[in-house]
Amino acid sequence: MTRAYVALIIFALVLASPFIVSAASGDIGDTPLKPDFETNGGIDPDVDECVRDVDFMRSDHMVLLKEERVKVVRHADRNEKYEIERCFSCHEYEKFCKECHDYNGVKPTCFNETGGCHTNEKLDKSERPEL
Amino acid sequence: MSGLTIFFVIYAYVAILFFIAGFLYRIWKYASTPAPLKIPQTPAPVAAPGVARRMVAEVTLFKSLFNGNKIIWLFGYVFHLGLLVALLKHYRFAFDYSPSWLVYLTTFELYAGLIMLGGLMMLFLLRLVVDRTNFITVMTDYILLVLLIGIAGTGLLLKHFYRTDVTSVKEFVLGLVSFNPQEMPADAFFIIHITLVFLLLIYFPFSKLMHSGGIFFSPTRNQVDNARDKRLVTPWAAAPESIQIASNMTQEEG
Repeated sequence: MTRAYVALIIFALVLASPFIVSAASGDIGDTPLKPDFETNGGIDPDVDECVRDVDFMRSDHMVLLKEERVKVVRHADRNEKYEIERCFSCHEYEKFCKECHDYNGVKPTCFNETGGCHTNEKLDKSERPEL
Repeated sequence: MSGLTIFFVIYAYVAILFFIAGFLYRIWKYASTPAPLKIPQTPAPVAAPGVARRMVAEVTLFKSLFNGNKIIWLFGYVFHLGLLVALLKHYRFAFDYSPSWLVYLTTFELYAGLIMLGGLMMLFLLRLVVDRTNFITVMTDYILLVLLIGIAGTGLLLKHFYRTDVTSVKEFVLGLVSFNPQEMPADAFFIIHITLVFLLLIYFPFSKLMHSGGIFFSPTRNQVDNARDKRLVTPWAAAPESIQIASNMTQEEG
């Protein structure tokens, strides 16, 4: 019977862990941390335009990148508008991609660092292989 | 703050309160229910470590269900595995920092989601088509399955088809956790998803889902088979030794 209580207490602690961690780190009542990618990247979403509108890019940018990847790699069909090199003309990997992906605990699978093909530096288009 | 956010913040706290208070109440009820008889199902362990091993096998492998019905075990087990991964991966939303094992876990999230949904649908189907199962099925069984199918389904849609901005979802959840509510993203599928989840949390303590806590209180599984070594006297039945001996004797005579 005691063992059942121990198991239940552990279960309750796991369930309540977000609240406990939040209380222990003194975050109660504070505004939660947010990724600082907008100011860091020097991008103002109200002024600067991306290839699609901001709301779409926030939720669905990975779809554009993935579709473009399939087109380039499998069908040798490159679309200048959605190529990943173009992202880096405005955004920096460290301050933009990484900041937000780390915050959300998501792997950006484009890059070497997380098992993809691309380096994190600005890419030189002349060095990429011919299709 | 929008009306939608205010509604959902209150809804969230009510649901969490219901869940915690209800869960603890049910556990207290289980713990205080007398188990006057020594009824471990044989072959049963004869010492405490054996009971712990038996309980672990029960909780992690659903051993009794496996012995009883392989088909239900398969779909039930697959569903619970998917549910475990899905639950764990949602912890990314509730902590400032996501540990690397949690990020690694997201590699399987699509498969976890699919086996969860598939398992639930098969369990639903079994209830419809297997006569013996259908006979003992009551309305709440269907309601729970539909609720869980709805949650898994909207979760998968939210991840793979109708995406929402996860950053604002995380801000909303962190806001709830630190008691400083933030604006919630107003995407249809996100709203349906969390509505169903909070509904499940409220319904949980009243439902059959309490098997999650109740399994630890199964007398046939949590007792040591030592009836011949140690006399079982439940605290509420404890009486002076003389009375017990007397009553034993009358029973034997009768």
